[in-house]
Amino acid sequence: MRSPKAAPAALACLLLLLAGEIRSATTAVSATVASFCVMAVTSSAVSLTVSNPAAPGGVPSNPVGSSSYAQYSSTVASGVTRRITAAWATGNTAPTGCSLLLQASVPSGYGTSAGQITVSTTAQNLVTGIGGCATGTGSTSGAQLVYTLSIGAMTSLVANESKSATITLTLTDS
Amino acid sequence: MRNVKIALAVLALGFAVAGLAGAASTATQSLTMQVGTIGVISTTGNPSTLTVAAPASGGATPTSGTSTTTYAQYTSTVPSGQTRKITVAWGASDAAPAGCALRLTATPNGGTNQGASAGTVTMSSTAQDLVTTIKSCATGTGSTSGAQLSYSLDVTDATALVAAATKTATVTLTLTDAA
Repeated sequence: MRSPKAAPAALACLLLLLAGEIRSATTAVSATVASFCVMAVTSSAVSLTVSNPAAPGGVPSNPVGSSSYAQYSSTVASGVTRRITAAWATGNTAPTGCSLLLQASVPSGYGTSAGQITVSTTAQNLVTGIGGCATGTGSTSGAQLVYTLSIGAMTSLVANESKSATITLTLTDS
Repeated sequence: MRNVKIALAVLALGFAVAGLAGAASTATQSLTMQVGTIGVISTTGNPSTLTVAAPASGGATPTSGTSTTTYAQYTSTVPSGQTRKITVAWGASDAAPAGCALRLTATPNGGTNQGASAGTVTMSSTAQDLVTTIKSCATGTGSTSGAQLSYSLDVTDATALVAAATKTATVTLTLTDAA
């Protein structure tokens, strides 16, 4: 025989259970793509040497170094692009009678080459129009850096003259 | 509630810092540039045969055989303060026909650093200066570029001449550091 007081208690429990089933909760989930840009080069050392011409009497060919690549990952806000600039340190110079040229050969989708520049202490555009991208990290991935030591005045060359320079590439907002 | 506000502020600050940190990235490369020591020379070919010919009038000394069609072409780089020269000699057993002497004059074309003629040399097996004060230069490779080589087979003793006598010699030009 059930107690007459048990009925209201059971009803109360039922109401609580029902109330629990219809209770709801919300949480805000925020997903954000950070704005970032990171860059590295595949080789830290490049060597260029003026050597014998193809034929006596001829001007030596301009030595070229193209074994290094700029590799970068970039995310940008809508409508924004980035660029890579190049400059060398204050005090850096090419050997007498020479100038250092640099051009980036850029695969499709990773920006546009700004053409060949004469390296100086003033940062100059090397690659422009870089959007969101990741060039990859393979040994030949990214923008190929083509350095050329251009002989401007043969009569000014000094045998055995050697110059060291530090080239800084900067990936920055356009 | 205050704690929540602080947390949100810290979070917002964190995102702002992340955004600034991503604004630029740099990479550096070290570059070595060098000018090698260069000293190379060649000639545009062999001179034509030098033939002693009959004089314009009887009784005169026969005329010299000459050739001015070849050039010495060279590329040179020198350290600061140093010069080069071109010397000339023929082989130890080479000789001119009896009664003759082989003479050579080089005339640089006047280009900067291409050197100065050392005058006319009488060929021997001992190296003699032909062009001096050569510095860093490239004479060019055209058919008439470089120092013109003027050969002359001169009669030194008409009484020693032997008709139809022929001699072949190998003349060596050397581009070398000046002493």
